[in-house]
Amino acid sequence: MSQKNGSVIDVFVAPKTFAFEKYTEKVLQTPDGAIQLRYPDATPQEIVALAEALKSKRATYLNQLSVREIVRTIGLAAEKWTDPHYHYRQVAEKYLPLMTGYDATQTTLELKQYMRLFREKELLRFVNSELANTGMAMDEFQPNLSGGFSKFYGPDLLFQIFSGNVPGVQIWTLIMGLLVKSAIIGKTSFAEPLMPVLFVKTLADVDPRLADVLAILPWSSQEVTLTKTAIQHAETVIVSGSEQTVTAVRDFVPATKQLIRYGYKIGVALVGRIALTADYYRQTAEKLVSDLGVYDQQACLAPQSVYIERGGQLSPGEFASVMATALDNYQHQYRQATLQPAEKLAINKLRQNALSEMINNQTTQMFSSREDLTWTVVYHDTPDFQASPLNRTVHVYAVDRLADVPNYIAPFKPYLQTAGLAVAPQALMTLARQLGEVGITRLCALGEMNHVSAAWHHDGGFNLLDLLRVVDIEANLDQYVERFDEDVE
Amino acid sequence: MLLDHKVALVTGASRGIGAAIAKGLAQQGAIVIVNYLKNHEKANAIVADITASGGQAVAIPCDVRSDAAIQAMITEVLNNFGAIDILVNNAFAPFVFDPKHRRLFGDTTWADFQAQIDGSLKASHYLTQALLPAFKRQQYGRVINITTNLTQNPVIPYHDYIAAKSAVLGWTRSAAVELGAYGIRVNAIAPGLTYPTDASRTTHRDVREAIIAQTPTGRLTKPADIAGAAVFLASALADNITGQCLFVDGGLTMN
Ligand SMILES: NC(=O)c1ccc[n+]([C@@H]2O[C@H](COP(=O)([O-])OP(=O)(O)OC[C@H]3O[C@@H](n4cnc5c(N)ncnc54)[C@H](OP(=O)(O)O)[C@@H]3O)[C@@H](O)[C@H]2O)c1
Repeated sequence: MSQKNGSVIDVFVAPKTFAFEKYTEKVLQTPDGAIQLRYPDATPQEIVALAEALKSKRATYLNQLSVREIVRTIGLAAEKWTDPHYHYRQVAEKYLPLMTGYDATQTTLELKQYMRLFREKELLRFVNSELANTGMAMDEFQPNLSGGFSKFYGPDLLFQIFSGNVPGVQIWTLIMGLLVKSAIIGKTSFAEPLMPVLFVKTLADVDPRLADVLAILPWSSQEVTLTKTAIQHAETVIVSGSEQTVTAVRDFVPATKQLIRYGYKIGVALVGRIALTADYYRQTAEKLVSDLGVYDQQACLAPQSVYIERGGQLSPGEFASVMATALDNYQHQYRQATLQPAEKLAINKLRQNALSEMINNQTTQMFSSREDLTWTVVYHDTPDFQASPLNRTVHVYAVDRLADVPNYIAPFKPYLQTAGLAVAPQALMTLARQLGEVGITRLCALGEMNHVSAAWHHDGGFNLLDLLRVVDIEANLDQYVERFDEDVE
Repeated sequence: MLLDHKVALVTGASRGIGAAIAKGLAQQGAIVIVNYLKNHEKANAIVADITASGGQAVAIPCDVRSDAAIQAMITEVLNNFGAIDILVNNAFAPFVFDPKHRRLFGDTTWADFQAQIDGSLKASHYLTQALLPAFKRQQYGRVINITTNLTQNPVIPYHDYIAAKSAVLGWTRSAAVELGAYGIRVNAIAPGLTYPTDASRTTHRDVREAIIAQTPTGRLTKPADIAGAAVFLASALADNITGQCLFVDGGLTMN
């Protein structure tokens, strides 16, 4: 990491041979003083040149590698991040909390766990979950069942618009792109422009030519011309971010071009009475609280409404109280990120609404950190669904049976994603079927909502397959060319 | 002040240690419910005392050995004050600390044990239980049980009394474990011989001097000493303390 004057950080990376004309700086005020983020003041012409440079480097190098070789390189890069003394890891641990406001200890812990997703063995498992034989069909034509041959092709250039809500989240799609042998232009958000840059630098340490097919740089979403230029030269566009970002980008992408969108998503948690027994309820509450606490619900994976089944040893209201205490304790351990004025406003509004609901309905209860906005639990006796303003704010609903929950969330189908469950084994399959029906795409253990597995299907899609096109050699062609074998009699 | 906006219920607060605790809590801003059994005048005098010094208090009679009476008192207090934040279980079944005329082991009947258990363990349990829904809703509660340092070293073996107080100590610890999850803290204060109260007046000079001679601070405990410990345990200063027994006996008990 080239760091000048101690507080200037380069938040971009481009092929060695590529130089931008002008660079600019953005000053970020942090509790530890100002940090200057240095990045290229790119022109549309430069984006065009960059796109061409990346494509040609891809053609001559990345596209020649086997998936197995790419996996090995990425695995080696991830392995470097498992060393606490690794330079870039230390840079990340120091600057990410300052840039994002997230608790430093928590960021370190989460990053540790996250980077291990990209170890070689995990990547192999991951590739095999979508493509047999470690993606050999991306390397060579493979015989298929209908008698012909097929080969998968990834985009020559991917343009990725990254979100900045959670540190390192960008690395996921970056790796997807590499696995399908695409060159990538990644546009980062100023909210978290660092992690993908650091990771590409690590890749460069392992294999400089592989890193040379990647360019990461931030620009403001106001710079529409840059965005449009990048879209124009890319074969496929992946956009992650808020509803607004995703919609804006959609309008720029012509119908002939593939666009993959990872937009606003909602998570829910379902706690069965079986998890509210005397021996489990405390643990259940703590797991739920870690789902709420990790990155302050900013990852789309976190729960926004929670459903508690009646009939357990604890009533749903009692459980809400236990949860509230656990949230308060969580704050002692991992503090909430500094809230923006709009976020404060949203939480205050939610609290006011809860108070007025309490006047009309004695059964509604609010548990909250009294002196500040660090956590809020609103308990409702009748089930419904409400999105949360996030930042450790949650609605808790009592339900008679968890089997009823799909009805309450069904209206939000386009937005549903993760459900964290604590249910009886006998109930799992039926409930999963129903939740899947109404739009949930990921079911995981309570306490693991923010930790996706290496083989997850992001928002119900395929990570690699969705990026690929298939080229078939039909059986008749195979047979036909045999005729021209001069040696055959 | 340490206890602004808090509502405290002190059982057996018409006299002795309970009265001192009631005053101590009120002095730190708490609204205090002075519970007693039958001594109207004394209870009202404590209330008058507190109000005269700018505090807030009311007296409510209730036999804490009766589950039904407890329910009625808690309902009344919650209706009038909206909440109870602090419960001090100080009342106990009538007992006089009289070394000379104490009941010998062979003479102690199950009825004696039962009476002491009813006055301390049972009362503490039902009072806390009656407050539990409110504590859970407000995610806050401080329970302080007055035991005795005799559980550690029965200098004078008051069998029924010590057994019942020991039970309260075990109860304090197990309740603390479960209720911590709701933001409720349960602690105990173990006073040494606290002099003078009506119960301790019969502990004569010879025993008092013998105790003083072994006490590091060189004096007996005063009701106000217990009040100080109660204020501490009731306040936010003790937020992360639960399941503990604080010995207030001039250092006589060390563990
Ligand atoms: N004094 C000591 O040396 C000493 C030492 C260690 C521990 N302690 C403990 O400190 C606590 C208070 O002792 P103390 O010496 O202050 O006692 P005390 O002077 O005898 O006062 C007893 C108080 O309890 C009330 N009371 C008695 N039975 C009751 C009932 N069934 N329901 C409600 N209230 C009842 C009395 O109310 P009325 O006025 O209406 O009768 C009075 O307010 C006791 O738990 C005792 O075990 C005392």
